[in-house]
Amino acid sequence: MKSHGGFLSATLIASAIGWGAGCGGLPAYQINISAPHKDVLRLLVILEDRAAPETYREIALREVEKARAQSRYWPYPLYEVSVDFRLDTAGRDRLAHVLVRLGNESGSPEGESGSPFPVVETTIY
Amino acid sequence: MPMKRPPPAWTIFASAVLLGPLLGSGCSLYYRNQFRSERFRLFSDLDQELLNEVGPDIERIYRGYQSLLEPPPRTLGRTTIILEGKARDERIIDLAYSPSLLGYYVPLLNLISVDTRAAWAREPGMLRQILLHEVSHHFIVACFPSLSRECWFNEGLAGNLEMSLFGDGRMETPLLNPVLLGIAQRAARQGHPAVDLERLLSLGWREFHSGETREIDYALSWSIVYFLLERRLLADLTLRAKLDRIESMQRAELLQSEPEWIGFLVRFDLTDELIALSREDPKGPLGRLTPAWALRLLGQLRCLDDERVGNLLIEEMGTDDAARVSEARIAFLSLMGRHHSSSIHPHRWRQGREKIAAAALDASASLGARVRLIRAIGEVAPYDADWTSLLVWLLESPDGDLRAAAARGLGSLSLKPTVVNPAFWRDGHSAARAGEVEEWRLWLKAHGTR
Repeated sequence: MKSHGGFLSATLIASAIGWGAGCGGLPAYQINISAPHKDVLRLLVILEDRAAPETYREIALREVEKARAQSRYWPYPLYEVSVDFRLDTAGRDRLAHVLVRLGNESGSPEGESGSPFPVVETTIY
Repeated sequence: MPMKRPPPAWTIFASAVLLGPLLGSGCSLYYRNQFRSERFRLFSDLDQELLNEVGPDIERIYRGYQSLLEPPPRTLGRTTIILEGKARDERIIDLAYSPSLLGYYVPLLNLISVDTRAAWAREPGMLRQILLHEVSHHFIVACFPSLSRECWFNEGLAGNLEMSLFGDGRMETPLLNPVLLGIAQRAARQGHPAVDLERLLSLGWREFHSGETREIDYALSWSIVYFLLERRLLADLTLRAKLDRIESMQRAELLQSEPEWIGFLVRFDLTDELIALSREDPKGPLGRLTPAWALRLLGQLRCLDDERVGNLLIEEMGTDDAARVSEARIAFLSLMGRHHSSSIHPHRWRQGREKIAAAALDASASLGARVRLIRAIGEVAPYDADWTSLLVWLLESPDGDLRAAAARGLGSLSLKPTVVNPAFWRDGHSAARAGEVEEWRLWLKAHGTR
């Protein structure tokens, strides 16, 4: 059976719970970060309300920038950041998922599919 | 879920009134991008890049149907095809949007419209299936103008033709539609009142497309046409000849088939049928693309007899057709992913695993096939210490693509944090890679695996 212990125990980039400031027109949000792999981050963003698809994308890119800045001295450049958006209710309903695939370390300008980096894929539920 | 395509009469009328002035050169003013061919004009607000991919695909569909259905010269005209959607839709996958109508064909305007706003409708395989369905309506109307007015025939034949396969410059038409079969078979086995041939044959467009049993009617229409083509009419006739024969049938003759048709539906053995298709003669009309397709389905579908499927896949892995062997291995991994404790005999199970492991390590095999297999081991197969050891071993392969595939597989297993960036495994510093491999070795040792 697949073990998912790594998701919880990985603290290579410290897990954090914080509040987004809600600046730049973005709604306030709560965020939880985990690192399932050395170059992969998983973010859980809790919003108070449903937002426009562009907002999910903006929040994700903003958090990616922050993570990149914080992980400057980490030996493995970030490869992928997966951001799950949920509603702040008891059920924490899933709102959206944004997958950000970042440039690779060889400096190639394109992803595997030929798209320029970063590749951002937004899924709305 | 079957596709819900043709619109009710009022929509056709509204389309004629509203879209009429936009057709032809008008569309080029209304839509941002276009792709032109001798047989059709494709318009859309989606990216030109996507149109440049889809356009040649539609061209292949036209060529394939042309040789399969032999329409009378100059009856086809030039079709206007519209892919509804915006470039923004390509970047946002909206799973909440699910239209009741994925596409429709308006004979009066020679117009096909496909709604690509649903994320799954833009998935290449699905989009091709929708286009195969809608373009087939155009050919059905051109080839069988009178019979095409019968919904059961028009929709039923389109449900058969939408399963056509393309590749290596050829088209194959297996006609078997597992989704529609599942719906029709369930209805027949439950004795659903809709399973009534007289009712089905008499359905008008409005009743067919807006009735409560629309989904079942699509499926039953597919099944009666499939039954006539594959079970009732002589196998050595061409598809066109069989369709001509159906056109000449009187309603009474069709109605006489009802008991046989229902029996066929109730007893239809999908496992057997897919196994037969996977073993089609490579020199026959279904011999090149259909076997690989059938093998994929044997791995993916959950409603099959897994013991027979497992035995077939192990046999296929021992044959000398590289494409079929490759599909059989992936299908076997899918089967393993579905069954931790399998209904397959443990000896056969082990045999399959050993063949797959040997193939992953076979340096003389094609790189593409090995990469695909190694990825599947991580993504599809259940967690297993032996698979993990194999993937760790492959992290030191001399080929960067194999190392990247193995790392991706290990990443999917999520056993411990690792580096998943393919570029690291392809071109990263060898010392850094060696460090990662060493970590994995220690992990294997700590978990009692070598």
